[in-house]
Amino acid sequence: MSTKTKSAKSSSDMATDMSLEASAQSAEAAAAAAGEQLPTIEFVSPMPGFPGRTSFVLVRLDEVGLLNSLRSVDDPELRLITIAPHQFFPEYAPEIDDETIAALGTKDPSQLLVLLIVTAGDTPRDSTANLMAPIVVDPMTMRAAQCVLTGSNLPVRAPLA
Amino acid sequence: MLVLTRRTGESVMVGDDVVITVLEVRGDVVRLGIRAPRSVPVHREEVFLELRAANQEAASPSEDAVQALSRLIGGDGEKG
Repeated sequence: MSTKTKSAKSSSDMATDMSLEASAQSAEAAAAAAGEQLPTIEFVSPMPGFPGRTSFVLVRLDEVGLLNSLRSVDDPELRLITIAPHQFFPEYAPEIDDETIAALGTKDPSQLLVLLIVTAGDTPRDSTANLMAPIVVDPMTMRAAQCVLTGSNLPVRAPLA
Repeated sequence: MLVLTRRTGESVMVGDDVVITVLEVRGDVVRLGIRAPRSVPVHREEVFLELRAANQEAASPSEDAVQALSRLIGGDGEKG
């Protein structure tokens, strides 16, 4: 990434950003239209709040996978926005318990993908990430779990900015 | 609500696959052991309720909110 803008973005930057999201959406839509299966991630058990929903598709919303969307296969209206932790929380190093590792069928815990669910605020700077209950995905087994880090005192709503 | 009385070491079965055992009672505090299949999550109630609320609040943000987020994230690498 070479260009850095300081404050106001130029309209061509905004257009590029919007076309990234639009192209991510149309990538999903095109795949669906072509009857292609985007790889599905199976949750070991449904996340609290979404009973019965265990199959999700992970779609990148930016070029590098910092921002992703997790969309329910069975309820296309249901979508969670997730971020990779390191951009905003570089020190974040959750300890994933053995039960979860076993449930995910993980052979190599260092390969686990950790995603934080983002609650979008009224402005992006009001947005928060759930550090207490990350989503952990094993890219080999394609299984996932929302891991509750009880006793960690990590915030459920950590501000991004 | 079904009310059962148990002594330390005794258990309750919920369905065929969930067993809850009273491990220790010390004053006000009861230690419970829970055996359940992996597909059945077990949480302290208040943790579950808070997590459910947070998940539901996060679900399905508007397109505008997502686009605004995508400008904040990755972007130019400079955040406030």
